[in-house]
Amino acid sequence: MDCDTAPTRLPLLGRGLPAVGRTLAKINAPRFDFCSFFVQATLAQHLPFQSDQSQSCELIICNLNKAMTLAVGRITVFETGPILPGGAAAALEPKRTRVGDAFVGLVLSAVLLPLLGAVEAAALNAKLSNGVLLQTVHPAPAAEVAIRLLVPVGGRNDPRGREGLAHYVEHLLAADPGPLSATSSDGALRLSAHGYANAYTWPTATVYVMNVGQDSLESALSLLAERLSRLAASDAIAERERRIVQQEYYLRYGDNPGLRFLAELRTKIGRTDPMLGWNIGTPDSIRSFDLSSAQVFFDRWYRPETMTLVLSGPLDIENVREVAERTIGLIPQRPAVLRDAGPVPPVPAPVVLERDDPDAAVPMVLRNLFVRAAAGPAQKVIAEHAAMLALQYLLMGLKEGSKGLLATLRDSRKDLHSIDAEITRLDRRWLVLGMSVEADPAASRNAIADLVTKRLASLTERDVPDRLITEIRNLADRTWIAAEDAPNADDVVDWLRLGFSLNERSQLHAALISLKKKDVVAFAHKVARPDTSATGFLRPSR
Amino acid sequence: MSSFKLAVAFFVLAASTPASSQAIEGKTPKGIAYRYQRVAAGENVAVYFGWRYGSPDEVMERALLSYVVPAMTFGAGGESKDTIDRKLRELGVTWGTYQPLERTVGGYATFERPKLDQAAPLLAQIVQKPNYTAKDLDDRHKKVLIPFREKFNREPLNQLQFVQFAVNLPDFADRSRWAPLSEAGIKSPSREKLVEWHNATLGRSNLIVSVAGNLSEGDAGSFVDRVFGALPSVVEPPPLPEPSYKGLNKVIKIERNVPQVYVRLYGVLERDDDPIKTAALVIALGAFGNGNESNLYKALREELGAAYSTSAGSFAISPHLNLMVATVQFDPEKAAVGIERLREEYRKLLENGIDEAMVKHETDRLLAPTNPQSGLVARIATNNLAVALRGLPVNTPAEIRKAYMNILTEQINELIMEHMPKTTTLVVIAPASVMIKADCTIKSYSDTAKCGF
Repeated sequence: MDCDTAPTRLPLLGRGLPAVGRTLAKINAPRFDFCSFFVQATLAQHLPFQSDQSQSCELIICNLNKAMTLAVGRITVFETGPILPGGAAAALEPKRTRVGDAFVGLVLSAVLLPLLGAVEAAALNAKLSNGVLLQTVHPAPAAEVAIRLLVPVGGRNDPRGREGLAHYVEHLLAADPGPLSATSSDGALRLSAHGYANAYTWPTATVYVMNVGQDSLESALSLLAERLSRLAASDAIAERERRIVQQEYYLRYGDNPGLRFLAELRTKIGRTDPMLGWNIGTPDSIRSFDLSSAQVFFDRWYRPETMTLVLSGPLDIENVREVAERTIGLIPQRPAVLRDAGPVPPVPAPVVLERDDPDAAVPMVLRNLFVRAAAGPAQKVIAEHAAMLALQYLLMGLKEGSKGLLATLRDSRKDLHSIDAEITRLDRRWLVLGMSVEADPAASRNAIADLVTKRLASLTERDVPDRLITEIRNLADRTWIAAEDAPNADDVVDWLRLGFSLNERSQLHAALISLKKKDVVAFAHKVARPDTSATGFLRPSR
Repeated sequence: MSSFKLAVAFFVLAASTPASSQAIEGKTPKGIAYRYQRVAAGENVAVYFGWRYGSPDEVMERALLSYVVPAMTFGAGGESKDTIDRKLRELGVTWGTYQPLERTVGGYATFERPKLDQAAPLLAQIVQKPNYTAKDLDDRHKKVLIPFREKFNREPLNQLQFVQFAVNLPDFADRSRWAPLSEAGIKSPSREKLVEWHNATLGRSNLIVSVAGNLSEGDAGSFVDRVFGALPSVVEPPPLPEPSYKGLNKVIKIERNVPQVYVRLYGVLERDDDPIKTAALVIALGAFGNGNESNLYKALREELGAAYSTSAGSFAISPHLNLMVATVQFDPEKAAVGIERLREEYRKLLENGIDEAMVKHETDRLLAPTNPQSGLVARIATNNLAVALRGLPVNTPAEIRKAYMNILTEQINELIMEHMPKTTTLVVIAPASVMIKADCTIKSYSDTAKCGF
């Protein structure tokens, strides 16, 4: 090994080794001689490591500072110094925000933090002057900068009867003006002028997406800031986008009798608690949209102090904050208004509907079971989130293990054609188990509707294979802890839109590692007794 | 600062440089034709395979095809479906079946390289000794194929396709995998018939296997022989007779009470072995109608507000023919004007071609690096299999990629004017209340013959 300076040698210990090793293998790609650059990993044993082999693994770094810089794409990370295996550096205190990518995060958490002190770190988590939170993410090599601007407003904020309004506002802001624009198409830049652009609306958030070359970052952010500073759509654009939203509804859901029916069910239950509603609206609610209602909605909810700008990719970390300040930082603050959505809505009564539909090919039972999520300290909330992830594995089956609960249910009954179910989090308050079953016309619909809940209610620890717990441990090894360690900006956005904070992410690793079979069983029993539900029986009619 | 930029440039280079070598063709010691491509990154291996077959009885064949490969995993070598499923899961093997091209039947398996030696005997067992129990065949008929047929035949976009095949490819329509599924076509064959067909059709001499992943060519060949080597040598079927495409400049309307108007514009593209031409037509079709930057999207969504999205592309229907398709779902109130505009945009494409900016956008998109690695090996393996089954040279994908990098706008426009279809058939599903100038109006796809073209 050739180093310009004396190499740093680190023994790698502990359970995080497989992930560390995998990432080392990744950056130490065979086509490149990383040592001649900065870093080389000497792995006496190839992956996967066994815990009793951990002593045989040694990481040799020629220049730790540059290695970290290379890996995370930033300038200054750590002052390097002699590293004394065994924790002499435990006395060193981090001075600023810890930084790193997935690789660095794992190394830091498993190896370096006990040995090193973080001395100087670039400011990667900062408030801009107008209150927008800037978060940078430093993934493995990426050719483009990913821009994600998250506005914490979505379907849950739709006024009653105007379900889908948040999505409509997203269309008005992101839509390209085209020839309908008052300023004409040659005067108005397309949001995609500098690369890829798109936008998505979820129940809890709206996210504006751009992928651009490094050189186009500032002009792209400028364009995005301009769009989000005011709702500048003309009446013609507003009408065009209303029709397009209607088309989107039909394209995504309208062709599918099951989804169409589910939209109806969810809209009905969402009238009591919009969080449980249907994000895009229905043809009736979409018909009611206009520019004035969109303007009121925009003024109330599009406020820079609530927004998060997530940037990832090849960033010039020394200047990125200034660039963000010059662009997104100019989104004007608005006079304070009451943003509080009011008291927490009551739990809606269960909804049951039946429908004969000529487009339906076979009888279907559609159920959405809504379960109130754990509240209280973050540790408890995230522990339940970990149990939810485990239950989803159990439902679907393990890639290298036992058959899933759903497949077992399907194979145990002759009258079932197919069964799908997925448990997900809607926000901090609600979890939902979505279920769709196709069955013989002669099958008992009530028995089918209760199939999954009955199975979950009878679940015991014996039904939870050891392999599941191993899978969850592996997931913990792969999971990112701090935002800058995330594999990409979208992962950070996906976490934020669930209503979690970036700080709470640090709890997830521990929650996954400490998950026990009894936690999975307890959670399954909780899901088996949902707080409310939307159930639909769809029958083919000729 | 400069070292940082250097580092960034280094990473950008690393990300954008393909991590795969050239595709190679060869034959294993047991005489099985293969395509192999090394992908230097990651551990995933993708194995795609296809048998060519020939048969005089299309309906019987469709029925057999609905069972033969999927039913391999209904148990094999005397072991039950549950046992085979469990073994596949334990090895992390993803197994599936598909029909890569007309008159072919095949499947795929993906897994991680360290599982290569364990996957080989299991896949050999599945391929060579399927149980085909009567109960499993009956279950497949009732639980899978009956509901599937109902859905497949009702799907509006499929109905457009049924009509188009009946009108433009009359000698191909009833035996195409894009034809409506009949009751006879999904009927469960007897176990004996299935086994007989399996033994007579799924041989090693009419098989092509495509392997991609981080493994050596020798390991790939050895794997292919271990899985497929014991299959019998069967008579190679004659090449599939090429369908004749009946070019018609017609609009056909199916009247049905639908909330949107479904429209497809069809034309035919002769396969060409010239990668420049292939690249040009792919770029042209993308620029015409595929995605948010295309001419169709700008005209139909941004200008008219008539549709949410547009798509355009082509797919192989035989070794020598590609079908060009542009699809739009229209707001019924704007359907008539939208359809006119769709045809006008196509005419403009033929007359004016595309501009430099469109070419750059499309080539950037086509050359963008693929992530993640698992998707990359599957894409490479499936592309190489398709190329092999169509009888194209092994380096075709690489040559086309090279063409994307070097092609000039003028070349593309010349090739558009020379080779893009001049006659197109437009098939529409719309309610009776939507007035469309149609050459023929029918109530259902099964009435297509009434059009009398």
